[in-house]
Amino acid sequence: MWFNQIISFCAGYVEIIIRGVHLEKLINLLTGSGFYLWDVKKVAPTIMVAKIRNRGFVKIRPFVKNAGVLVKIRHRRGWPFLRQKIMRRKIFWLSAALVIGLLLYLSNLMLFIKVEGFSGREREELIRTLKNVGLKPGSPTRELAREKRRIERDAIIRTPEAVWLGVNFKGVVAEVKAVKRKTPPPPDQGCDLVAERDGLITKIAVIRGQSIVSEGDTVARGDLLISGRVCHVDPETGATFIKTIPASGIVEARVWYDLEVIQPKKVWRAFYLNKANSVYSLRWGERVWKIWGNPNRLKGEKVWERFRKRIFYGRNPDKGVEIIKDVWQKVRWQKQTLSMSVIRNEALQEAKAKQKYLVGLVTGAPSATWIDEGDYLKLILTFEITQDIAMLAPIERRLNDRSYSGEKN
Amino acid sequence: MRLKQNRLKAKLAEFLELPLDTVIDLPKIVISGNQQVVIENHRGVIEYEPTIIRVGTKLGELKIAGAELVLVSVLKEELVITGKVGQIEMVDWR
Repeated sequence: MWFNQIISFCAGYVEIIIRGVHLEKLINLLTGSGFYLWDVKKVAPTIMVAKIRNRGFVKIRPFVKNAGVLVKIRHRRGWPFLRQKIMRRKIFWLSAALVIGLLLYLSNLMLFIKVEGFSGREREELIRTLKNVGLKPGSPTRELAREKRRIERDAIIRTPEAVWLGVNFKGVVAEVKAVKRKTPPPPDQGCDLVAERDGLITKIAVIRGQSIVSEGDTVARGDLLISGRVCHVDPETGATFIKTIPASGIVEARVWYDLEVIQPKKVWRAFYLNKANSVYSLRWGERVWKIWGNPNRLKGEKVWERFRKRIFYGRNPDKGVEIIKDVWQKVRWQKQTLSMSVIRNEALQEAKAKQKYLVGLVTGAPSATWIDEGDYLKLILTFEITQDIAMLAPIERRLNDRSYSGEKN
Repeated sequence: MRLKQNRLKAKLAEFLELPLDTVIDLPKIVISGNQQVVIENHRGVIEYEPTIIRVGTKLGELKIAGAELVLVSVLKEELVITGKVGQIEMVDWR
């Protein structure tokens, strides 16, 4: 029965109202001639409702006349009528195509950032940092997934409050999980602030403790900057006693960092001897199928390069489907002496790449020193940076430390 | 003559262990609880009302009484009736 109804829907059917005295006669005439009727219901003594297929309906006129009844269409149903109805609605189709296109486009974008582990102001700050490193709503998810590691690394560098940060893309949502750094509670016992590295003090702001140095002083690593030992005079007895408190403050100083880059003067360079031999293969998870090409045709020394094109991004980046293009090329390796300008350029580029990991505000252009070391050229870039050099150091340890030469006073 | 033919067919069906409804077009009535009646090899609807349906068969008339009776499917060979079936009567069966 269900099968008949499905076919009827596909072929189209009409719901008819039959009026007359000899309703049963019409049923018998139609079924006897091979017509299929279903859902035959008598709604009144002379009125009956039935369903008949589209093709059958156009042929029932002689039988209706013979039975002496009246037949009227109540509803037209099924796919042919539905198709006619919806094909006429061009605006509907246009807007449906637009909506589907828009949905497809939007589903390829990252629209929301969900942060776990941070709340309040820290959360806002983290979202701002993520935007700065490229994770902002409206960016294509594919590109973000490709740069996932870079985003995580850059975000963790710029967020000192986080000890770990992970980004996952689920549909249009970027789930950012961050683990907060647990800072130790402020020390109960007294402590000093000492210099973390050599520098020239430019600014000092004491929050707790007694300042030992002043602006313009030059300090070496380990020098006392703000002391945690404060003298108190008892107003009643007039006796002086020393109280130890945890020193706190900001000591900004100009410090100098040396960035060292070594470049060889002679390098091995590959000279290609023939046209590239490409081998295409398909990888699905751990399985790799070769599609086209033969890598074993080349004999002797060869270089190999691999290009990947992802077809399907799964949840697990290792389990995706991708097309791999391996390019094999026969080469001859030759030792080449580089010109000084090339070596210098490469050294400067490497130094520039390392420079972004320097912490603090770089003031002025770095001074460059070139040292020739036979087969190598060494570049030392000296950066002047303004940064807070204050570092906590326990008073007890400092007093008992034999290496400690004494406090500045 | 036809009666003789039928008897012969019936005996042959009995000998070959074939179902009688396929050999001599005897009506086959399948009743599912009190909700559905399927009649095969019928000879047309004599009367149809929501409370009573009379169906002609080779052997006589079959009268089905009940409530909210609907002819769910009407084909030349098969008739499906659903509703609350209360009574089935074989009228003037030979």
